[in-house]
Amino acid sequence: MSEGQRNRSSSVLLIELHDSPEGSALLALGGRVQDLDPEIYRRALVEEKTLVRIWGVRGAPYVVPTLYGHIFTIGALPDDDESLASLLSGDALRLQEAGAPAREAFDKAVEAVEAVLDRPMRKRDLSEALHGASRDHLSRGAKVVRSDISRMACCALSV
Amino acid sequence: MTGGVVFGPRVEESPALVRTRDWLGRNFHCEDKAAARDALVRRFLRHYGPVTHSHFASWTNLSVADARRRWARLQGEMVLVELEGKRTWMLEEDLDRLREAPQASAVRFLPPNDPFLAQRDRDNLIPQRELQRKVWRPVGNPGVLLLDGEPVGIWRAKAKPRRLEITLESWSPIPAGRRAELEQEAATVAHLRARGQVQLMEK
Repeated sequence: MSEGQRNRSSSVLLIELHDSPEGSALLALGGRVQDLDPEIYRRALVEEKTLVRIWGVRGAPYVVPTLYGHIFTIGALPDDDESLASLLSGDALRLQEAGAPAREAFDKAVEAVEAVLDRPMRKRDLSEALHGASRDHLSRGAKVVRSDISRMACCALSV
Repeated sequence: MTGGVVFGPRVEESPALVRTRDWLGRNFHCEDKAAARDALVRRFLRHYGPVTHSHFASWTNLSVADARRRWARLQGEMVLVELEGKRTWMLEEDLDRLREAPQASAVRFLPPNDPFLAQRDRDNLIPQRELQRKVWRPVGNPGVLLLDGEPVGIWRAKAKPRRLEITLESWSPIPAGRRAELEQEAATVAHLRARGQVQLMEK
């Protein structure tokens, strides 16, 4: 970023690229990589899948190299309940008020997301599917956050 | 905790979520969760250092205690850097790279939420609070124009059928000698947004 000339390789992609509004990650990469061809970027995301768009723990889509996807998802997971509560913020408080451990509800939400996601779904479609999910998949705690299931799902999606 | 969901194909023109294994043919490969955590800290240090564990906590939304524990694991790889009276840290192996970093000399239209703008010490990047409020908004951040590494304005783009309209609000006059670079960079943004022409308007 500090040089007048752009880098000649996408190895500058050390860190996740925020992709909201959609296309921001391409612009961020284009500011760093010489003569970036949008078609090559599209192919990397959609065909070759050397890049992947994840839902990050900060509640937004990010583009990362697929090879390092685990660092920005699994590596970003909270170590303990306190840290999970920090990540979930207001949702964690509601879970505590409902007497549900955040970790349990979170894990159940993860399971529920993976169970209902049997085809590609837009986020709002996934939220609706989660609302209609079998009671077996959602613990009491997870049900508490169904009023704000998108956020909970977003957190769950990133793991 | 599997890294189980990513964005895959589009559904009705919108990005759609899909199981990672359905999109990539496998889940993210992670044999060692602790190593993945360490790698995240190293990347943060490399990209944003010199920084503190509190910056890392803020960047990841993890608790400060969690961030401190991760920091401690890598302490042996870090060096202390005093930055304007504050104790900050960076990877020791990056010290020479920082010392030898060239003087910035370019125009860039950074998109909203560019990693450069995600650094946690916002005062270091833009000291004026009234300008910070223009850049980091509760919703709908603008892009930022960088001139030789310094933020000098904000921009927003509107895609028309055949052209991209960029509205620039600069905080200080852009030197006449840099106009050509500015227009070239605007054209690059338009190209990346699949528009053949660009119209640059100044507020």
